[in-house]
Amino acid sequence: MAEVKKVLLNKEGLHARPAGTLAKAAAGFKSKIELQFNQKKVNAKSSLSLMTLGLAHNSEFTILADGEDSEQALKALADLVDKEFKI
Amino acid sequence: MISAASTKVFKGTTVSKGIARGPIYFKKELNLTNGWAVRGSVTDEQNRYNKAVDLSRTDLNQLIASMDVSHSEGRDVIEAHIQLLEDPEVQDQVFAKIENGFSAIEAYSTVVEDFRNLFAQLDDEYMKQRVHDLDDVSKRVLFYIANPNETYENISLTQPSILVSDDLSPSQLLGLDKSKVLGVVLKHGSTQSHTSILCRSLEIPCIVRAAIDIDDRESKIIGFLDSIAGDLYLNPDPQIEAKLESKRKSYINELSLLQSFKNMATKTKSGRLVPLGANISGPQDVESVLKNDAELVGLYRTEFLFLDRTKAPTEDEQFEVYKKVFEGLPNKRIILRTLDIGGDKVISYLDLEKEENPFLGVRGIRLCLKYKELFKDQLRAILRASVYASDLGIMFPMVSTLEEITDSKKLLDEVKKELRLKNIPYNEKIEIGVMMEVPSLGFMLKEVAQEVTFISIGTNDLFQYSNACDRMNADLGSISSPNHIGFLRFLKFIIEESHKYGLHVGVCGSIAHHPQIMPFLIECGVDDLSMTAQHVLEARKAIASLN
Repeated sequence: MAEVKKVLLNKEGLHARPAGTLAKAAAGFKSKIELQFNQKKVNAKSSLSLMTLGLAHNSEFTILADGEDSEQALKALADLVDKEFKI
Repeated sequence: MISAASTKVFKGTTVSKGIARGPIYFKKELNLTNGWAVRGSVTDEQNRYNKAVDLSRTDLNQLIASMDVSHSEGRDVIEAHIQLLEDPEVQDQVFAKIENGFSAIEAYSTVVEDFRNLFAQLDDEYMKQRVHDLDDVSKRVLFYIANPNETYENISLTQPSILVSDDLSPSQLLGLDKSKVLGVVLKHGSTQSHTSILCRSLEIPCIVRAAIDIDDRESKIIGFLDSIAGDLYLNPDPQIEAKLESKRKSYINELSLLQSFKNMATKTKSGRLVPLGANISGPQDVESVLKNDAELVGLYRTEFLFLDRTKAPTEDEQFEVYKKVFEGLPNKRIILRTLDIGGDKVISYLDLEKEENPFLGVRGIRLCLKYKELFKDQLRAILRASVYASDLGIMFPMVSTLEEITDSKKLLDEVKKELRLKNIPYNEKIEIGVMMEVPSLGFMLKEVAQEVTFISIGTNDLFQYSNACDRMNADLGSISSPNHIGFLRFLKFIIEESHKYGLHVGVCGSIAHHPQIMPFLIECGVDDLSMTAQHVLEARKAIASLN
């Protein structure tokens, strides 16, 4: 189990498009990946669940990964957060 | 609500402007109850759900395939729907519920309902609206769980019609033949829903939240939709019909007349050219500059890149953004204004002092000269991107002394030198100018002309500083109107002085398209005007009738 804390830079919050991008990227890894924010933990491969977190600009959240490729997954997803989900 | 014998009028909120006349098509609601009661084994129910997802996916993919390639907004919406359709959390929960004895329909509708509730709790209005995307997808899936051998299609327009409905999903709208949709009138909906965004981009007249009473589902009702006023008329009597028809004709004439001013230079009757520019704030505005045929960008505001973030944009990030704008507008003159912010804005990474009078404090060039590294990063990004621009001007904001100009130019020269040492190319023909917004600078134009080649009058701030008048203060009433004899004389003086000393002079404030002040500025001899892109064609038309 590995985890990393991140801050959401997108000024409009985790809207539909970034949530979709994040879920798609997470789905590319074998590990179980979750996002935790305000005591709520959801499946990061589900864009719908990500949207229900209500992540706003500057929200601090944790990405958790468990599995053989957890390190790569965390790195890739953290990058995506830093780049404001622009690929 | 009755304005004449049989005419009914319903009021709604404008989403997309236009006027349309045609038969009304009432959308009928789907029958979802077929097959509701049937329940098979766990495997049967899981297969039933899987099949419904497959059928829905096939529909949505066909929808994408049938869409015009240029319609990227529409494709994005449907691709997002496919993602919702295949959402792993939804699938896991549905499967778990079926294993616990739920039917496919019960399981899926419960899961969707749970998500609906979660969305309802969100604070963000835009995010709340996303529940409609989920509804759109789930209606289709539910239909296919109940009716796996039928086709999900509940709108069939046989002739061009005005579509009236409680609600309309983006995929339903996109599934229609656009040439048959004269207008859209919704009882619910919101101006920010995906359906509304699509109506605007497809230029379909549309109103939402219309208090329509869709009981009378008789055929052959004629509707007149005036979405400019936000009205839907049903069975208008001849008098109203004639009035609306003449409004429709003049609206269409107006539109096509404005279109006829595209792809031509802006000039007065006597043939004097007055190039019209657009004010932009980033790459997202490039399309509207082209669409509205602006001849230049008279003001490219760069501050938006710096606001609402935890650290300053990097040089590379700025480079990419400027490059995108320059590449998107080849062969156009672009006046880029360097960072113009002050103490009225909260910039977490700058540690700005709270000021008594932020509008008279450390802002614009004053701030940039205080935070030199921030300023140099921007200048370096601009210079690197400048190789993609053919005719670029760099303009410094809020200048009040000559030293500010010479200091800024010195920094620019330092950055150029650094780039040369690193063999990084930049455009050698960049012009330098200043914003004319501090009144006293207007009496120093002789000296200013020794340092720069152009000025741009920022009339919003110049007015506020010369008339001691906060333009945002509604209590000031007519005092805050820029149509003020002293101010107009000042503008005339600035324009004449500029020409006397060989400065190119433009106006980029909101009075540039003011119906009374624009002719005055042109009479004074202003070289160009810059405004919101949407006003360009109208201004070009107005200028064509001036002497």
